[in-house]
Amino acid sequence: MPEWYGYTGRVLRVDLTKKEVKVEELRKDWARLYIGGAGIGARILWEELAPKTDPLSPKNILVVATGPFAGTPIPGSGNIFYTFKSPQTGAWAETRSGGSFGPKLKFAGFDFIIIKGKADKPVYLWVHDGTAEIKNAEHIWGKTVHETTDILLEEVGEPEASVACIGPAGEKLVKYAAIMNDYDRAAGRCGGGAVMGSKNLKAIVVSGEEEVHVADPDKFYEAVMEASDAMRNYFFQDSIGRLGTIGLVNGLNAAGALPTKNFATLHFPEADNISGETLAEKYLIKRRGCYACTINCGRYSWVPFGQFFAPPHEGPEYETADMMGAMTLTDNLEAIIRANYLCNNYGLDTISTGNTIAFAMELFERGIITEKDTGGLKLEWGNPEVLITLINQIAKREGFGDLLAEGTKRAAEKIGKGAEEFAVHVKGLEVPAHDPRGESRSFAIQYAVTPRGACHMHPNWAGAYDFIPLDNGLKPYGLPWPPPDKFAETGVNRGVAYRLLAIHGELAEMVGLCRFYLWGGEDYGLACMTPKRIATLYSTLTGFEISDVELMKAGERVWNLKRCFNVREGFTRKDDKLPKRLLEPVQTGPTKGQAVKNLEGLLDEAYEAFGWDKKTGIPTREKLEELGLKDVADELERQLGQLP
Amino acid sequence: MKTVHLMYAGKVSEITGKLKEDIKIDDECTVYDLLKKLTMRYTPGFKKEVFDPEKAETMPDVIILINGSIVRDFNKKLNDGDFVSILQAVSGG
Repeated sequence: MPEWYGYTGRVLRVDLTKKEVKVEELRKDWARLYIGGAGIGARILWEELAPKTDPLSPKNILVVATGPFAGTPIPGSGNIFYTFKSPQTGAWAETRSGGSFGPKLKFAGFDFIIIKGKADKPVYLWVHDGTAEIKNAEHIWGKTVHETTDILLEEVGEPEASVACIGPAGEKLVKYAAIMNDYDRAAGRCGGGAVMGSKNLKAIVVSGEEEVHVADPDKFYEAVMEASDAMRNYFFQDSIGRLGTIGLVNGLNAAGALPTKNFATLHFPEADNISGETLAEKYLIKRRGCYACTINCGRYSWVPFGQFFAPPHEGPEYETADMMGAMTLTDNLEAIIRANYLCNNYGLDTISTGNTIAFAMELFERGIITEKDTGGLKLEWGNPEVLITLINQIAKREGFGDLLAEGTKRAAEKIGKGAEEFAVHVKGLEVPAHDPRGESRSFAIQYAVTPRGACHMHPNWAGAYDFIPLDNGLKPYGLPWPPPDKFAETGVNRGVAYRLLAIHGELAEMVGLCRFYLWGGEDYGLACMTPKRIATLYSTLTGFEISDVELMKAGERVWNLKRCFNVREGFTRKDDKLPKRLLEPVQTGPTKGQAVKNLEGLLDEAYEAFGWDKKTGIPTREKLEELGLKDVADELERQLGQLP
Repeated sequence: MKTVHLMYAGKVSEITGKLKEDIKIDDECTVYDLLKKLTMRYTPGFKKEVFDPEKAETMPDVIILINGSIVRDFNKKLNDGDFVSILQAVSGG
């Protein structure tokens, strides 16, 4: 009889400095308290990463994490998570990707890999059949993501293996370098690629045939069938399923919520030229899905010939189309597809890349930087050649790209002359293509407090609640319903609602679900992974009985633990702010004049709902003890003095 | 007479065959009146896929916004220059 169900029960520990690998057992108490994925990833970093560690030093820790759902037929479970300290923000970092790498890490025999140290020369990690080897990667250092993947698949001789790797951008320590897997799937945000690069770790290759054991097969498969049947009525199947996430371009533009010209406005008159409809008509080869996915939002596209030639590859996503397109006023979809292809191959986060380029274009327009700074390059809005040139420069840290490779926050600090006013980031993480002024004021809370900086998906997509609106099955836990007007700020229980959205989002990161599966409404047959469904699937899979209410408490525990990680690093309420641009009125279109007016009021309400001290933004001892985090409270108190 | 700026997306734009248009409306025109007008203009797709004037209901995955705000009261009177967005629900991502 297996000792573990759902989990493999094994953790691979790698010390690159000492060239050592060893296998440990997963802690059962952690599985029960933090479930898995980024939840256990958070506990590992809390335990093992010393505060104030330089993120690009050998002392930073990269945790490669699966959830217990990975490798099972649960819809939406093809995920991999990475947790570390971000070189972009100096704060908590987690980044997620789809594809098949997560499930295949489980099949290779491990739930987690904990990577420390720095190899003295480039290496890759070959993880297979319950063992691991550190192998030489000098011959692939400098290679693109596609080249690296091809070479390693041939080298290990397992065509069904999965490769997660960095491209040249990670090697060059571009602050927003991505970890790519299965060729084109990106764990894009927070600079995980730079952390791998700093460790001289080029790739992780996984393969194996280990079975994921199920504790109660009859009840589990019944629960899987129930969830799969429910997902047939998925609310967004006809939109993101049919057109991919890039199908959001025309919709958000029509709604006055499409970030344009470095967030000066939320309406791009040429949006249709870069839309999902245009992609489908001219450049789409086929749809793609991750392991065990029923939505299949992935695109597989190309530009067959011409100046912006791009071989078949996955994407572009909505975020890429907006950040490379509307944000830089580029309406040339061929250039955007080429930009996506380059970013995937260099291993760059398309969100931070596009946002940073738009920032540079605005500085150029305003005369804050000139051709003297850019090496003669005219950073004109809407020039697709400039877009491509800058991506090449950033990835290789050549010319002006070396500065932009630092991201908007650091680049602005170096440039000075008021450049910071136009840097649209939170805590150093560039704001993505969802805007609190156009989509939902809940994003004002989310961007300000989310532990990894401005993010539209971690822990959840705030727009579901009052933009659609969908309850996501959260009414039984106290979700205020009906939701308020999406532009209403204080006095409408936004903090109470956001707390529940955040906790639900944490569940996805802990069990290993794609965020897209969280969104559905009671009025539409609840075609989503409600806390109840997740609890049933988890209990029948792992044999660890847990109720939906207990699971929500675990989600809140993890949400608070991540906050405590940041508090330990010195982050407080003073860092929970929005960039100036999001406080300024939208210039044109349906949402002209909209601005976030009372962020501080929103934060007061949110902190109160979260159980965080209003003055400092630090979780109170009472809240931490309620969540079973007394030891965390004690450690914080040792460091900070008395907790609120 | 007033003018409103209409914007369509997703399956709605497929039915109308366009992404935007300006329409002149009477001074007393409500959201319901406008949607009824569109139902007649874009028959039969609009009634089948977007708005049923007899039930005064939109299809579940259709969202109507005026100047970015979701409209729940179809008796709301339109103002000159309003942006009316009629779109298939969009998600995060």
